[in-house]
Amino acid sequence: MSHHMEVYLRQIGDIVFIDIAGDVTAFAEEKLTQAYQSASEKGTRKIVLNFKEDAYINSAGIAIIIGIATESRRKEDAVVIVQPSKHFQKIFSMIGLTRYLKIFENEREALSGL
Amino acid sequence: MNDRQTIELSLPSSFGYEKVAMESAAAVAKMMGFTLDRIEDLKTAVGEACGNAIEHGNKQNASVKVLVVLTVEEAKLQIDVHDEGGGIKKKIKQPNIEEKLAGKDTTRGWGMFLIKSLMDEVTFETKPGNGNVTRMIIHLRTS
Repeated sequence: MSHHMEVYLRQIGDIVFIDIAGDVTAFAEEKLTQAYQSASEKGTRKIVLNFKEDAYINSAGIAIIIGIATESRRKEDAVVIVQPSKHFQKIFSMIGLTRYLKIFENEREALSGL
Repeated sequence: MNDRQTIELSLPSSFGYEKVAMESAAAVAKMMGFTLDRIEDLKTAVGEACGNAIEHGNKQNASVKVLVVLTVEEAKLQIDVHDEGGGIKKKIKQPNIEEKLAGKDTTRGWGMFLIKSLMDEVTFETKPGNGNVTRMIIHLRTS
């Protein structure tokens, strides 16, 4: 069974985007945490986790995001999330993640908010 | 759909197959008239229950099956997820994001929290020597 997931880094000004394509499950851990490390090493301290609306994120994926949030606090990176799916905006709020990471509906709002 | 009907799925205990259960439950819920929001809630809950059965119940042994039974009644959908595990030996801790962010707890452990938060009724039963059942019920609201 394929667990395809890809991440792409790009930079707009002093903001680094981690574009996430595919399922965010336990199989995404290595790629996603490595992507965060690479983004953080750029030194801008402004990082966006950019999810697609049809992304499937399970509890293991949520754990990876919390791990990134933990690391970002240590490194003093400002990490925000672009999450167009109302369902996953709700999930992130339910677990309390929104108290620590800002969630934006689209890239334009994230660029304004950072 | 007036009569009580059941749909059964037998899934290999390998990650990825929980999506079959999620999409099947979603298809049934759509037929019953659930809103898109509740269908998304259902998919997440079913995915988590199946993921728990695959990982913790059946130890990712692909030759062992997760049995998912969907029971359709007029105003509710019941989803039973069966695995062949030996039960949970310790109490499941309520996840606390502050502790997790502080590094005082594993970042994992959100599955049961999500299931209980998203479904109307949830029970978890261990039958000694006969596996575990996570039962989730979602009610069809008319308003």
